[in-house]
Amino acid sequence: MTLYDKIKSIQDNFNSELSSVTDKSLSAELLYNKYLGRKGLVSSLYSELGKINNLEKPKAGEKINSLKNFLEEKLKKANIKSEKKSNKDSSIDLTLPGNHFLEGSIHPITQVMNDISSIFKNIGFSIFSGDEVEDEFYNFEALNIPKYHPARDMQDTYYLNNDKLLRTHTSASQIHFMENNTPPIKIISPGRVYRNEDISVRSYCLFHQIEGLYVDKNVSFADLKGLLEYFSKKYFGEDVKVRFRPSYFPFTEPSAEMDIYWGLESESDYRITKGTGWLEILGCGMVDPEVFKAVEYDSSLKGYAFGIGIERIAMLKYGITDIRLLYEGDVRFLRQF
Amino acid sequence: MKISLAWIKEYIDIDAPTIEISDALTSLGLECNIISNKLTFTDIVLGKIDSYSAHPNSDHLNICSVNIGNEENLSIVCGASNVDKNIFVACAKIGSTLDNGKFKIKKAKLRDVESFGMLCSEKELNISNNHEGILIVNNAKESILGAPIEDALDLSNDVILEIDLTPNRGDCLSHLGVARELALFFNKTIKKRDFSLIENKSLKINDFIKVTNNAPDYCPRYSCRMVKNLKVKESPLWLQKKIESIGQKSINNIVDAANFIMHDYGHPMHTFDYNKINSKEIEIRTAKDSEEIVTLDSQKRILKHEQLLICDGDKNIALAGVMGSYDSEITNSTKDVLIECAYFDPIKIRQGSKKVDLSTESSKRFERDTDIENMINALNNLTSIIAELGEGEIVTGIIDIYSKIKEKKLVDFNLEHCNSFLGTNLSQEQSNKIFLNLNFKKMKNKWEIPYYRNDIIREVDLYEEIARVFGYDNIPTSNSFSSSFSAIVEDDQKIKNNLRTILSAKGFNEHYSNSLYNISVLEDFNSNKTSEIINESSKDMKYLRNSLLPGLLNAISFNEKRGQNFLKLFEIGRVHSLIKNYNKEQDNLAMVWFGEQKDHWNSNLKSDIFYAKGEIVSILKNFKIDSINFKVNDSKFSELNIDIFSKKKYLGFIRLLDYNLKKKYNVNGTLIYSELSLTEINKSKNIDVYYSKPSSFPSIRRDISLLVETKISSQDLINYIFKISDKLLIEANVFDMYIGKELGENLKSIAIALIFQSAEKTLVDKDVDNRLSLILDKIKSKFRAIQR
Repeated sequence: MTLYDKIKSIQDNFNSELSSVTDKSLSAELLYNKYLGRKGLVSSLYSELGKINNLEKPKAGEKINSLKNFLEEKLKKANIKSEKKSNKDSSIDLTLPGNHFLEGSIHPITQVMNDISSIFKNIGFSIFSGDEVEDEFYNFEALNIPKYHPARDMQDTYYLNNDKLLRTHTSASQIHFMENNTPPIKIISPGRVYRNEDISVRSYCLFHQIEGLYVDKNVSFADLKGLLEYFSKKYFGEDVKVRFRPSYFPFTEPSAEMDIYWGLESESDYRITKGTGWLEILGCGMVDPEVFKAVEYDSSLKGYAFGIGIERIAMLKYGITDIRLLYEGDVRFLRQF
Repeated sequence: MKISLAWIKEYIDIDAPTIEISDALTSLGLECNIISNKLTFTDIVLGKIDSYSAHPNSDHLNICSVNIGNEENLSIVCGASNVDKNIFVACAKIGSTLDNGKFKIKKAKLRDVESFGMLCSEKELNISNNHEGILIVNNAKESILGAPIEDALDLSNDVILEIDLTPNRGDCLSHLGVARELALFFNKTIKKRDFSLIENKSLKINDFIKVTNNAPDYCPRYSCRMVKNLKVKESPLWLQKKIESIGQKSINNIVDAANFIMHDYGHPMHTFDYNKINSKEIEIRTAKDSEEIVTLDSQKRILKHEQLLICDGDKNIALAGVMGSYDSEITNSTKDVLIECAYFDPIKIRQGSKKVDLSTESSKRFERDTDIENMINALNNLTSIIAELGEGEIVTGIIDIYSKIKEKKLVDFNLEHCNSFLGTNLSQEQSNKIFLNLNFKKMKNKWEIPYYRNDIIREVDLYEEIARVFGYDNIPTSNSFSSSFSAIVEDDQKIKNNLRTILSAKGFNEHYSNSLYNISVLEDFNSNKTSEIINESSKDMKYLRNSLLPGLLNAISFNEKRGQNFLKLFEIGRVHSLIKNYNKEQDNLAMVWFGEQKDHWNSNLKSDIFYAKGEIVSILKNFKIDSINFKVNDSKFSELNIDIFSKKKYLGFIRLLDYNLKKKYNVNGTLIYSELSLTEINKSKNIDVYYSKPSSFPSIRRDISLLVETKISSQDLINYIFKISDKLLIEANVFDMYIGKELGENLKSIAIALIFQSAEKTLVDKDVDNRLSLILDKIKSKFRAIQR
């Protein structure tokens, strides 16, 4: 058989084999190996090319090349066809659910605490976290709350067996920080605080606060207002309406409470704002000179301080009406955050 | 504290809308809410439905025949479902108004039937939000049909304000005090209360009582008066209503009068039954330890030496400023009354009240300091009212022992400092006006403060007065609050937040648990001592937590009961330990893996100790923790305990929850738990990471399969393989582990994949074969392993 005959017969065989098979994706691969593979039939034709005379070589070579192209073309088509078809045939039900992974979540208290912290961090406040166990000096006396002062009624305190107590506010951290640092001071102090109160829908024996403190030579009440308005806009949105009203904290003078306008659109708005539309968000004020005295600071210094209750903000933000949900660990609750 | 607006109006002429009054008080620092408002209706009367019949053209309307005390009944169409025969109702007649006059009742035709009025719901009367049917008046009498409904329901036409008073403003614990604030805001003058005091000249106070003050430091001023031959009886209606409008209980004319004056001027006064005071002498002194008094709430109270007492010749008749004695109480048979008005030291009264754990309206006011100047006026006023209401005779004269003169305070004020402190630009004129309106007197460079403002002592207190009267919202808002400090974020904050992100991505839910524990859980997870609360409200919250795990396990139990069978929780929080009476705090991370995934067609995850161990390694590797290693150690807390180290440093443990703890915490499913010290994790973090170039040459893998005794640990094997190998061995992974009877007693088969790679060249078989046979030889002799 001449080389040309061989070429012809290979092409014929290929055509008949290709048309006779049914599962084309599989056969395309088999046919490829048989004809075009490293030890395939086309490859053997090339090795035979060496045996014929030089004059014939280009022509024969051309023939083999065109066979090769023909086969490749056919196989390519067969392959594409088969791919399309195999998907159509598939019995796999793609609507079945994917593998199950647990949905993790970060606690709403953490989220609120972090969101608030980062606003203050971005304008130069450092973070300082103090201890939960304090003594009378740091929690009360240095903050201008002497023993037998009616202000002690504002905070029911847990006392410990070693003459210590559980801090009732993060303000206690202020004193520690001031004792160990020189002004200017610009810190926030987040943490857990305790109140000896019965657990109910509205109160829990502990909650979280972020305390802020700024001490420098020239600080004014107007600066405090500016800072807290900035914070409110960043946290509650540019359109937020805030108001400041006088209040009383022994460690600040003047003292203020800041409200934001919540609105009176629904029944629950009436309930949470006691019908005023305003909602108390935080307490603040200018650091009382007695506090500077307690940490032996120069009396010419000025400063402001503020304290934000995290649970309160979280409850408002997410519409939570029962504070106990925050500490129960119900994953159906936690996974919503 | 409740304040009646009608009462306030006895002091000032004010006709501003209630909401403006409430806002004014709030803006001055007296946080105010309106709790009951004026009536919003007129001319609504008590009626009775004598009979009713169904409306011919409606299936829900009724035609009621309503008796309002006139000869003819009114025919009223009503749609309420609670219409019934013989019930008393609120009936609006033609001409009555609702909703502050906005809604006027007219004759109407409802589906062709005429209606001559309306039966009202509570909401329509604006006395509650109840709109379920019409208001039914219980216990009404036929004889008062047609009377105004406000009388039948005993509704008051007064506005009651609730003020949440801060402890510095004792002067506002009274109607006079609140009126003063409103006078300041609305620019009004306070009207003085008028009363007449007609003494019986034949009765002289010194003939009846003698007062000795043996505690002038604690009782700088003591005064009293007497009314004789009076009758104790029910208070007149005006007084009852007044007392009740602010939430007090009416008792009798004498006690009510004293209560009235206390809520009027803010000065608590006490009335004694004179005839129960033996020896007719009063002594003010401090108590001796373990003296006793039975207070008028009939409680026996044991006293301490700090407490201040009012005594007669031989017994204690009052715990000064807190409560009188049971013995000397006013009763229906009291004829002669001794009225005490004193000024007590605030701290002394608070001590006394705290010692016996008794806080009263009186002690609350003395603790917050009272007005020493207004004492005699208040005493005279009360005497006059008692005499009038009890029809008694006023004994001539007053006893007034003013042992320690209290000076008025003079406070410096520098306007420039004030302006820079507040960020304002007030003029001298403005500040002077504020102070004068506050009744301060200018004394050269200083301001003299009235006695009732005991809270103003220092210059900064005057700044506050300026700020609150000027209005906090009128103080400018500065934009220069941001100064340039670099934020030094504490490292532990960062690691905590990174951990939270990683853990939540791994499917853990973050939990916050109560950090106060019952004693019974303190030794479940470690042996650390911890601090104890001495004034706990519940035994379940008496100790500070020494581990985060009890809180997490309670949460698991909570969730398991609610049908959750596969979950992972974590908490990052503070734990405490008591070391030689010193409380040490540190932050921990605790994790729990609970249960198994059920009913999924393609996956089946299970909490087991290897799952947990692997997850911990992956978490710790995020923090580049140096050489994490595990040691299986015996522990008294669990049969299955693995300690976790970084190099030699102990980080924490992983354990399986034992049967007894499962029972204790009410957990049924498999539970793995781990608690790690965040402080130690933080210390073991590798901050200096130097990169090493990944090899560009291919690696060669060789698998070995060994038969060893079951007691040989895979960790020992792997560690040994690395120990005897050079750096070309880069990995050794256990990829199969099998225990089966056919292997023989106490034997297991371990298959390990060894990966070799060089950073300098392509390894050839020869390089690896030598090393492999060395490893096999050594393992065989060291562990008596058999190659399979």
